[in-house]
Amino acid sequence: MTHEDLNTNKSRVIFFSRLISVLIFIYILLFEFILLPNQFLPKPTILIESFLSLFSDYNFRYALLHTTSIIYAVIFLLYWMYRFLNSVTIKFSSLIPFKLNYTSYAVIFAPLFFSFWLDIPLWGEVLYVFIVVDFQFFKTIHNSLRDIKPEYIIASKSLEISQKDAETTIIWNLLKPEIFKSYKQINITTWMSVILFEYFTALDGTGSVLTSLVLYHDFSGIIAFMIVITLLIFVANLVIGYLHKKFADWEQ
Amino acid sequence: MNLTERKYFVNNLTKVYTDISGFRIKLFEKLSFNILESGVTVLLAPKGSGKSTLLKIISGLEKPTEGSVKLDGTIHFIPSKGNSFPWMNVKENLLFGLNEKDNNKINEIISFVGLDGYESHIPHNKSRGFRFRIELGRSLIRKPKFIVIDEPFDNVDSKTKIDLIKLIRKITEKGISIILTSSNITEALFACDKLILLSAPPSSILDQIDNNLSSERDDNIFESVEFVEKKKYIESKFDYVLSGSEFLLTI
Repeated sequence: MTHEDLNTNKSRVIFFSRLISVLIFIYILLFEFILLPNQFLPKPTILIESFLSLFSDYNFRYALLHTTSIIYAVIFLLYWMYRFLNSVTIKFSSLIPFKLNYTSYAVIFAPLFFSFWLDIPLWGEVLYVFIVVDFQFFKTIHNSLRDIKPEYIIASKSLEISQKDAETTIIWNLLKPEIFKSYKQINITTWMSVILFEYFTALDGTGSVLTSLVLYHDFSGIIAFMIVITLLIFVANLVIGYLHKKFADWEQ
Repeated sequence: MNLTERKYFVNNLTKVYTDISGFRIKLFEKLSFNILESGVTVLLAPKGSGKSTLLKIISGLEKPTEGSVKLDGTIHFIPSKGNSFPWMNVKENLLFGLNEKDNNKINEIISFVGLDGYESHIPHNKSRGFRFRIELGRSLIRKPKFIVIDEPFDNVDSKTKIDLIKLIRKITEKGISIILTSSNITEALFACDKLILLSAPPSSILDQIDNNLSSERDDNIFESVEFVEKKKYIESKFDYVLSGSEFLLTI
């Protein structure tokens, strides 16, 4: 990363921090002191109570742990699965002679079907997350494989590097930056999809907490829920960004 | 330098391929030429005339439709775009795929290609010249008899281009033959001991020129009468193939 990029990132962080601070200030001023109780946004003091209530009354801590563990365990598992089965993926991918251009946001609609078919506690959800993540992950790998510059393959042949080494070392390392880039998107869409899945199945996890919140018409609870999930996704994306810089900060 | 001709390197080479629409396209036809031992042979042709395919065939990475290539030694091919591995540092790039790791030899080659002090630098975000030096080092460490280089000076500034040409010429002093392609008359003439002029597709040989300029090439050579006359002669040879083809005339 160049100094220019670092400065741009720093200014972006400063700008958004200021913007959020101003918005929070306006929100407190308007909804705590000026406006009467309304259906638009809850009072800040009630919102704070809802945060506490989420954890004390809705068992949100366990729900978060449940969903977070499943999502990130599956992402981690799929990464290593593709790492070790790279040769198989390359062969399978070569059978599809075009780029896959479906949108990752399509997974948001997946709960409509899968929540009925996979209505089994824990393992049904694990399988669902596996399908959702793989649907997006395979697209990244397949499209990135087609974007690898042929010069690397020609060079490896000329260097008399074995096919196995070329696939496990060269191709995999060229794929890595694209995988990390796609993780941010996968993180967002998977969370949205899984919350909806859990909402429909109402068995376990954060989505089932949302089911209860909707059932009790706990409006400020829903807002608090959305804030916590947004923060969680944001922090996870920061970690992904850090891992990208640490382990795959290069381009072809 | 002893510029004795080897043997026929490329013999009646023809390449025909079928494009995406199903048309059969003849890229080049019955090409035959010799290359120099311990010298730089440059294939000069307009862009899109099949130079890269020709080099891949010479390197054994692709098969010709007809004809043959005669070799008697290890050949190493350097593709046109950067292909040094961006996640490895200079030293790791040189060592990749090697079983024997002789540290003295590695340091000697790193120094030879001008990367002394950059052993731990990674090529990501580095200039094309820097990456090309790594690719040359990676070739040299494998002790090839021939190094085949596709358009090495694309996207390289003039100063670096001259430095790289001098480095390539220095490699030939180790008894290695260099075959490279170019679509730039000035750089080709500056680099070569032997120049093979190819027409636009279906490519055929327009002329073969032995370059008897001094083997020590410096910047003054560009103004020498001999260089200017040779350049004019080559331009005249290309007059009738230039229309419609991108052909660069400056270094």
